[in-house]
Amino acid sequence: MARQERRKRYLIKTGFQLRYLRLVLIAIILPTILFSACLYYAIFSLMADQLGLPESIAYNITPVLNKVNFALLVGLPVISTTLLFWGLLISHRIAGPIYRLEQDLDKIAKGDLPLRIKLRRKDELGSIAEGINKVLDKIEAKPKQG
Amino acid sequence: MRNPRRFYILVSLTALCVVSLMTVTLGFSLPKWFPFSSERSLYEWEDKIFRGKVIYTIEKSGQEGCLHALSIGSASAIFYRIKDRYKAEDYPMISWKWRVVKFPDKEKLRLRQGIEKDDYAARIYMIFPSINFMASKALEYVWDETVPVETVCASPYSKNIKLVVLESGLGKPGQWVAEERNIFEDYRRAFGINPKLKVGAIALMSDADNTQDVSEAYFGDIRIGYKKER
Repeated sequence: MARQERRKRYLIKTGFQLRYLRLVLIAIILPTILFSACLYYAIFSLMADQLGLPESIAYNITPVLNKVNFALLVGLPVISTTLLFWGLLISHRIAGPIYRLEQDLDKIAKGDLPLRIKLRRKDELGSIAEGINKVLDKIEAKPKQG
Repeated sequence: MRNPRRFYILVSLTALCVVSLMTVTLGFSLPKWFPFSSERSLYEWEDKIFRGKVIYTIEKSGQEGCLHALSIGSASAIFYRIKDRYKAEDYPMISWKWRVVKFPDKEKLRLRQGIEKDDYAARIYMIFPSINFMASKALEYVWDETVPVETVCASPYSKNIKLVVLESGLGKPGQWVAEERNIFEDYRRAFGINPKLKVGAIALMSDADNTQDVSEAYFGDIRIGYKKER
């Protein structure tokens, strides 16, 4: 059984992966801001409006708001980091195979026809590699038939 | 005019515009006067309960009346929302009469601090609401039993609430005390800056929730939103 090579670098195609991570970050931050703004407006403003008295607002809402802010302050970085790391892994599973395909196709184009593209089990683009390998098999089989 | 129909439409539209303009202009006018002469006087005021309900009733003597506030270990206010908020700088004055009958006994809370001592026999709030309610400001005129007159301090609840002590001690028992304040100047003195927010509400309260005692006060007619006549 062939030993699968373990990729040590997580940023293989830096431009593509950073664009992907940026999108992940925006997808985390923008809905959070929008949701928080709506929540603040709907709940807290309504409550503040109902309570009316400044002391009542300070006594009843401020502690709750501080707890919510603390939860966001602690939770958001943890969630963001986790999601970003997850995004990095997913982008790595796309960028890795692209890099591998580019390298191997370059070698094949230079005449290394027996070479077959091998991707890791969890990598994306496996079906494309499989298709290319089948084409290569057919190309290699043709001269023997002649 | 050649076309009488067109003339009538023009007149009707002009009249509609004038009526609309008058409605907008006369909908809220300053100065605003709050008389406490009948039960109807409180229709526009909302109850805002903090801890338990203070009993607010109109007491009449002849044509005149006043608001009686009785707190038995409770804290709630009556609150008037000003629909057309105004700049304190433009209409800075407020005047009213008040009378305290019973102060909450703070002696038993002598060793305590902060919100546990925040009971006053009579207070009047001028509230400057903000869309971000955390940034709303309030100026409170209070009548305390011991704190010296003209003391300005922050509320133990929030630095956005400043208290101005206007009266101290019972004074002449049973006598009304008339007040007239410039809220713009008091705001500047209390917060150190000019008010950026407009005056959006006024509230009255007598509370004794922290002391779990009884406080009792009377408020006379209030007038807000006018300039000092020179």
